[in-house]
Amino acid sequence: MSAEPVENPENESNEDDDFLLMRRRRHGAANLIEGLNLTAMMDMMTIILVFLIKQYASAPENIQMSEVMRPPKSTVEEAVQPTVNIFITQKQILVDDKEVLKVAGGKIVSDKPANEALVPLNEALQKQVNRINALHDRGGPEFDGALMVVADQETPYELLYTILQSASRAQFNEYRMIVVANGK
Amino acid sequence: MAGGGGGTEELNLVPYLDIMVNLIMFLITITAYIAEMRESPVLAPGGGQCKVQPCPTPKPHLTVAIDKAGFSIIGSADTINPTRLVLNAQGFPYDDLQSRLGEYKESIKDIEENIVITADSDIPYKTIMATMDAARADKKGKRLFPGVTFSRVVGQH
Repeated sequence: MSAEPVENPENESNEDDDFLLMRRRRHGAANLIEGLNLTAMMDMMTIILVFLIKQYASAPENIQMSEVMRPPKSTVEEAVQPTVNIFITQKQILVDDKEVLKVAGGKIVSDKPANEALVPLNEALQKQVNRINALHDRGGPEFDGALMVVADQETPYELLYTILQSASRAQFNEYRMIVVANGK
Repeated sequence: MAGGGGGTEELNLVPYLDIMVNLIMFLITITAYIAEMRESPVLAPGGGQCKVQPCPTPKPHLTVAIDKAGFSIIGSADTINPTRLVLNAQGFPYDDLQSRLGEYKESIKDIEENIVITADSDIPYKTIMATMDAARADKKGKRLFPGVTFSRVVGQH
């Protein structure tokens, strides 16, 4: 009577494991994920970054403050609406980011006679009105007479009033004085 | 080619991605530190004039004049008593101006909500804006004189 070897379930299990391990070692490299594909994520990040930069650059309330341009604080709550803008700093007056007049000590500096000193400002504002009217003729928005005034908090009333009066002659009759939100 | 190792290897995008993430985080968080801007409307001198004929009877209105010594509130009608508010220890008496304007608003029927502000030549813009703030609404948020027209005293240079 020959005694047949009794199958040991434990041995069988070990053999299976070895076989699987060997197989994994032989073919596994092809099946494993080596790394994430970052290209899609990079595309997404680039789009978000460009979007954020463009958004900040085009925001009407994005006003660069400096030592010569600090708008006053106010409790007003109206949001800024984009329109033609005029900047009155302690050193210059700019219309749509182009310098039209120089300022020193709260007064306009010009080598022209007093009655002609404001001519560059009037011309620059009139040019903006003509541009908006030309755009309106081609289907753009109508000129609403609004002017965004960004002035330094130390600007004397005389200078501010003179500039607004000049703007009034160029058909601007509503001034949006830009201020830093102070909260209540 | 032996030993060249000239296989096409992909660029390591991880540092680039790190920079991108940092920039995005920076741009998102910086909004909390950017000064929030608002706008305060002002009408041009003469902007309140009527454009239809015949013009309706103008409502009584107030003028706030600012000089180095304080505020003067002047009414357009003789029935409105003028008020003088002088500087106090804190400077311009904005609280007094606000409460006085509130009294005018309460006592004068049909008063124009658009006030005229005029100031001495060298009064800074921040004082004008603080005056406008005081005139806009009272401490409880009740509407006083939200509209403003700038003016200048005739003969002022």
